[in-house]
Parts: sequence; C-alpha cells; structure tokens
Amino acid sequence: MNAIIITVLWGVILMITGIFLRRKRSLSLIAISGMILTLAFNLFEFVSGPLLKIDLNGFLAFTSFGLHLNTMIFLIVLLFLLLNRKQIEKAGRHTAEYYSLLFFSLCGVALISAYNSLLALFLGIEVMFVPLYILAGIEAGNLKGNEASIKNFINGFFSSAIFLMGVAFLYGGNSLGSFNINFIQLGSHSVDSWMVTGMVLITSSLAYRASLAPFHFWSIDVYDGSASVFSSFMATVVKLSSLYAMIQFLTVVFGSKPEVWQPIVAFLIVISLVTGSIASLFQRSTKRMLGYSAVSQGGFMLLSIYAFNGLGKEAFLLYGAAYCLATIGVFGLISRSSDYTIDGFNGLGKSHPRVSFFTTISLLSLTGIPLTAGFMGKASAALSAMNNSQLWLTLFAFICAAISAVSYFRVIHAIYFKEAPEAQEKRFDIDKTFVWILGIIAVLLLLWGIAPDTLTSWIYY
Amino acid sequence: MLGNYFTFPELFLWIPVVFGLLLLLIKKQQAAHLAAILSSGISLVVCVISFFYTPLQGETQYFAYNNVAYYWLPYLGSSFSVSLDGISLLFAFLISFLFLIVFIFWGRDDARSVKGYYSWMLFLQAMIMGVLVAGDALVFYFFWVLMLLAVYFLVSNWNKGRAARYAQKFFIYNFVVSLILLTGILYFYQFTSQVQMDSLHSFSYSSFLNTALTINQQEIIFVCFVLSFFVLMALFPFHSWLPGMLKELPAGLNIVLLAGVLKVGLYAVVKWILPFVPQAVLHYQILIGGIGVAGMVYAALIAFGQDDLKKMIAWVAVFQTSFLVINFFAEKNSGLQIGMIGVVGYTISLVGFMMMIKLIEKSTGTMKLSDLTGLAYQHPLLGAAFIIGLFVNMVLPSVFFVHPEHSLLTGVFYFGRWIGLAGTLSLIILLLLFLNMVVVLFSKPAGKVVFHPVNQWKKILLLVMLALIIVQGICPDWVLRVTGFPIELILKKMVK
Repeated sequence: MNAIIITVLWGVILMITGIFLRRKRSLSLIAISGMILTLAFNLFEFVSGPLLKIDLNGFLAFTSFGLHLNTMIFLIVLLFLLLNRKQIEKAGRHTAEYYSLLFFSLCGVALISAYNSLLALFLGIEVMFVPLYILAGIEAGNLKGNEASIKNFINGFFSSAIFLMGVAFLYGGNSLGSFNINFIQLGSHSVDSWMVTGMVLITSSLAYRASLAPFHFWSIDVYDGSASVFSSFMATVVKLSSLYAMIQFLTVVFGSKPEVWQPIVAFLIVISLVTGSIASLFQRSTKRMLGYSAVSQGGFMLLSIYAFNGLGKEAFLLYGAAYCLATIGVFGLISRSSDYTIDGFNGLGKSHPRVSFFTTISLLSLTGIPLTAGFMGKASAALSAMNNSQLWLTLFAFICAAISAVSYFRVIHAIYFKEAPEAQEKRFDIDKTFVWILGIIAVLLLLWGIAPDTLTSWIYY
Repeated sequence: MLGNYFTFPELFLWIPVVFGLLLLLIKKQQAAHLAAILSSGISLVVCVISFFYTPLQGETQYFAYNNVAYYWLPYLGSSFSVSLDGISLLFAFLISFLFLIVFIFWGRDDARSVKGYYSWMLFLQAMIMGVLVAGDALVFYFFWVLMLLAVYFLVSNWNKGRAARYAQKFFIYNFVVSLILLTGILYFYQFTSQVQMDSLHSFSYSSFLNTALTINQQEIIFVCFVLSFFVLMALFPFHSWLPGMLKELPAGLNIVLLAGVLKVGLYAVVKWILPFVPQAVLHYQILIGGIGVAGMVYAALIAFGQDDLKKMIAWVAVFQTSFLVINFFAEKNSGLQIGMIGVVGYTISLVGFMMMIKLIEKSTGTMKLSDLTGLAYQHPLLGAAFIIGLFVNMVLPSVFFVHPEHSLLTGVFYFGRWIGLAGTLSLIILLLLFLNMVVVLFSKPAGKVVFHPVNQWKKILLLVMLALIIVQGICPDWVLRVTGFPIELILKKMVK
C-alpha cells in the first residue's frame, strides 16, 4: 500500500517540480531520492504494516511474496536510475516528465504485486503500460522510436481488449459472479468451457505483456526502437511484473486444477525457449539480441510457475532478480555506446577493463554460469520443475539455455578477444558513477550466486 | 592445525587460487614465472605429504584431515563439501605434477603470448582440483563449469583469432552437455534421502552413493552424466571440438588439455558414474566399448597420418584416453586397477614425450618427423629418449612391465571378440607408426636441418623424467596401494 501511495505522490511531485526546476541533475536527484523513499516505505510495510489502514474490500491483498517482489523491483529500479541517470537526462527536454512516467509505471507494478481482483489487475497493467507507450517514443526525431511507440500502443490495446474479454468470460462462467480471484468457483468436476476460454484469453494477454513467444513480436522492435534506457526498464521490471501477475492468476484462480493450465504454460515455455534462444543467435544488434534473449529467459522463468510449489516461488524471485540486474547492467552499457552492434563492443576489454569485467559477470549470469545468481535461478527453477516430475521439460529448457549461451559469449568474445577499430572517436561515454553501479550489480549477482538465501528467505518473513 | 583449520583438499584448492590472485598483481614476467613454479611446487609437496595422511585403507584417524563441509544452501540439502580419497589423491598428484612441469618447461614461452597466462593457469589448476575433491554434486558441477570457463579464457587469450573461435566451440559444446549433466544431477537428487534437517533430499556424494535407483532411473542418469564426461574427453564421435584446438594451441596448453583436462573426464567416470549407476553401466557396456574402440581406431589412424610430432602425440593421447575409458568400463577388478596404472603411466610418458619434442624443436627448429632423419646419430641422447618415449606412449607401460594378465588390452577383450580385435588393430597401427619413426631416426642423416646443442639443465630434467617413466613402468604397485581401497568400494557397489 505504501508503495502505491509514494509512487503516485512522487510522480505528481516530479511533474509539478518540472515546471519550476529546469536543472536536469536536480530532477534526477529528486527522482532517486523518491525511489529510495519508496524502497524504504515498502520495507517499512514489510516489517510493520501499511502507513494507512484502508478497507479495500478485498480489492488488493498485501502478501509477503508480493511485498518482497516489490522490494526487489524497487531496489533494481534504484540501481537502474543510478546507472542511467545521465542517459535519461540526455533522452530529451522533459526530464521531469520521464521520471514521473517511470514512477506512474511503478505504481502499476505495485498494484499488480497486490492485486486480489481481476479489475485491480487490469488497472495495474494499464497503469504500468500506458506510461511506456509514451516513453518508447520520446525521441521526436527518431522514426524507429515513433514506430516502437505506435506499435506498443496499438498492440497494447489489443492485448487489453483480449484481457477484458477473458475477464468477461470468467465473470460469466463463475457462479458467484465475482472479480475477486479468491472467489472464482471452478466447480468440483471438469472446468466449465467459459472458464477455460477466459483463462486462455487472460493468459495470452499476460504472455503478451511479458513478451513470451508467440506473443513477443512487438517487444523486439520496441526494445530496438526505444531509447536503450527505457528498453531495459521494459525488458526487466515490466516483464517480471507481468509474469508475477500470471503466477498469481494461474495458481490462485486455477490452483486447484493445474491440469487445465499446465499444458498451456508448457507450450509457452517451449515456444519461448526455442524462439528466443535460436533467434538471438542471428542478431547483430545487441539490443535485438537481448530482446530475444529476454523471450528465452522469460520461458525459463515460466518453469517456476509451472512447478507451482514453494521452491518455484523462490526460484522465480531469484531468477527474476538475476535476470533484471544482469539485463540492466548490459543495457546500461549499450546505452552508453555509440554502436549497438556486437562489433561495437570490440576491444572494450582493453579500453575499459573494469567495465568489461563487470559486464562479463552480467553476461555470465545471463548464461547461467555457477557462482552467479543466474545459475542459482536456473538451477532452482529447474529443480522446482523436476519436483513436479518434469524431467524432459527441464532438459529441453537447459538445452535452449545452452544455445542462448552462444549469443552471450559472442559479446564476451568481442569484448576481450577482438581488436578495437582504428578510429579513435569516443565509443563509450563512461563515468565513475557508472562503473561503481555496474560494480555493485556484479557484486549482487555474485552474492546471490553464492548465498541465494539472502534474497529468497525473505519470502517467509 | 591440520584438520582443525584446514584440510588437504582445501589446500589443493586454495593454494593455486591465492597464488593466481597474487599473480594478477605481479607485472614482471620472470617473477610471475617463479611464483607460478612455487605455487605448483607447494601443491605438489602438499600432495606428497597427504599420501601419508590419507585413509588409503579406510583408516578413520585421518578423517578430519581429508574431509570438510561448510554450511551452504541447506534448504537444498547442499554443502560446500570437499574430501579426499585414494583416487582423488592420485589424480590431484598428477595434476600438480603436470602443472609444475608445464610451468618449468613451457611457461616462459607460452606466457609471452598469453595475457595473464600464469593466473589463468593457476585458476584452471584450482578448478580441476575442485572437481577432483568435490564431495557434493552441486560443488562438483560448480567446479566442472568453472574449469571449462578457465580453459575458454586461457585458450582464447592465446591467439585472439582462430584459437578464440575454437575455445568458444570447446566451451559451448561442453557447456551444452554440462547442462545435461546438471539435469542428471537434479534428477538424481529427487531420489536421495534426507541428510540435513532443512531439506528432504541431499546433493552430498555419500547420499548419491547410498541411493538405490531403478534401472530406468539409472539409465537416464547414466546418459546425462556420460554425455558430459565423454564430450570433455573428446571421445569419438564427441571429439569435434578437439582437432582445431590441437592445431592452434602451443605445446604447453596442449599438454594441459590432453594430460590434465581430459583426465578429469576419466576421474569423473570412475567416481561419478561407476558406483552410482552400476546396472546402467552393465546395460550400456557394449555401446561404451564400441565408442571407446572406435575412438582408439580413429585416433590411431589420424596419428598415423601426421608428420608433425606435436599433433601426432596429441592424437596418441586421445587414443590413450579411449583405451583407458574402455578399461574403466570393463566391470572387473583388473580393468579399473590397470586403468589407474595406465592413467599415471600415460600422463608422465606424455609429459616426457612432449618435453622431448620441445628439446628437438629447440635444437632443430622443426617438429616434422620427415626432417628428423638421422636424429639418433646426431643426438644420441635425444634419439634414445625419443625411442623410450615412443615405447611407453605407443606400446603402453603396463603391457610390458606389468604381469601380462594385467594388461590394458585384456580390458578391451572384455567387451567381446570384435571389439577386442578392433582395439588390437588400432594398437598395431600405432606400432607401425612407431616402427616407421624408429626407421626415420636411424636413417642416414639427410642434412635437412642443423642440430644445435640443447640447454644442459633441460637435458637433465628430461633424463629425470625418463628415469621416472621407467621406474613407474617397473614399479607401478604404489598406484594400486593408493587407489586399491576406493576401487574395491566401487567394485563392491557395482557387484551389488
């Protein structure tokens, strides 16, 4: 509850401050302090309960899992802001608006993490997504950015329509006629066809939001066309929230009938893994490569949803944290580069050894190399699926993860084992803060790779 | 102190790590070279000392010196556990010995071309040691993949062109199968019993060892494990990552790969397959025999076609690995025991032969066999060493020096007549190669190359190495004393 209030409040404050304050650096500082405040208030709620006790009539429910997810996301966004402050300031003239849009989007994230009603979920998704339609196209002269924005907008509204259709089916097929996810009756025997249709439609819509194959087509162009800083926000925070929404929806509403949704999730896992891992091999642009790899990583994350057990929840959090941190780190470097192709990283190891080292740790984490959080996330997700007797699905997921490794190693190869081009112009705009934050990300990835329970044990707080 | 603050397996692991980190700070090549020699020398000394404190016959008083488990991931039933038994100790000793010789003999030359060579080499040594002493399946997997990664960075640094591409190929191939290995480990884990309070299952080695599996479960685990180990050992038909590496790499890295990394695969077969899935081993025995013998024939044929001594000996090493694998899978006492003797014999003979090739190259500037006609006349010492080297590499120390029924060849015949005959055929091909080389060495000098004198101390080192090879051939019993007890335990498990 605290997070919802603070994010909205801070979004409004930033909008108003933008009228009076022109200095971009000051606006960034306000946004960063807002993020720290949000994080602190969310932690406070975790420990002592919400600031305001409001009777929400079952509309929202604040669980330790949801609050933990919020804390993790806010921490990641804080690092994201610290890492990309400069690039956000450079993105355009209306810095205050960009920050306030990010805060509104985070309000949507907080709503999703606490939704207890399908209407709250719809509201959360829209609040999270609408600012992104704008952020995707903020570079006025950038045709690709404009295309990304329009694509995101049109596809997004299609997805919303499908979602609402699904809600209508669930409402109609439900004997209690309720939007509350705890009161949707599935019946004791076979599930009604209306309910199944509703479930398929809502799952498809959420799969679209989480850019899972075969609903991923929008995301690659949007990540590629948008400014890199906002692409990384979309590929991480938004994806994680959407997947969380899917977990809650499937495991709470259809928890008693896993046989109804598990084949659909298995289908999404397989298609996402294959599409993401194979398509990423053929990309020359690092942004597109990460876009496809995000599809594949999303497929792997779904394994923990499929498992539908306690370890699955831990795996989801761990995987989500590892994926988001590493992706933000790599996207951060891309946003500082003048060349987005993989060859653009040639010789980085020689010119920026520390940045290269930290980025390599992020890439190794995405690959799933031991000692990094990415490995523990993958191993936990696989283990939770294995607990559910999914040997072949796990094996398949691992093989696809290994295929994805080729893409990440192409970047590592370019960084360390290829010579930089002759031209001497500045290819990377890197400052000390950036290196420090990248270092913190690397340390967190290693910490959660060695001691993952420092992150996951909070679920049981 | 020993047993309370540190244990032998920890020392094996941390000595190279600490030195590797220190070497990152040392800029002077000569100082780095000495520090690397010092590190591997200390590791070797610790290995030798540990021979006296390892429970070679299952003695309990040394338990604390060789086993330790740190609190790690209790909710998964995993701990950072390392332990040492006779088999681990033997392999650890060989690896320490190998790295010491490589640093002394090849280090300086290779380090000129590879950035951070000494650090990466020591990290690789540490990771290999980690695999050898791991007492927990997750720890084993951790070190396994980190070992692959260390090889990747080491090789890629050598020649940023083609070698880096081959290194990538090596890593990706091995990483794919390592994830299959991980699937196998996670699958196995489901059937283990509780060891720690926090978890229903356990990743500990002992827990894996005591888990009874059905034949179907064993088969799944067997396939997952064997694929990963066979790809690392470059057994035919999983060898495609190897030829490119052999072509591109310098001798020092080649030998680390062939005598070190490939041997880790052999170790993994003995420790992490045979005792866990005995029925599956029995079920797939003919297939493994076929793969092994195909590898022998293939490697022998390719070695036969080589004029370059370095490449030739590399393929001989691949041949030897296949030969040893076959023996390990021959489900009987002599197969495993003679396999262990073979591991030691082959490793030191391979190192000795590579040392000799290095001296020949230094002396003549060539590694082509066709250029070396009359070497025996020009350099009697090198000629004699060459013949001894060939003898032990081609004809196997165990065949001639050990009791005939304890021959590696009997292991091949265990899989049936045809596999035995094919194995013998491959051995004959190598013998022909050997004869051809002897003819070349004793031919009239063609005067194609000029022979320069060889550095005295390197000559002495070579002689010491040759003496070691001969002594090992005559007295291989110490290997049986070191590995006898754990092998017995494995065999008991297999018979059960």
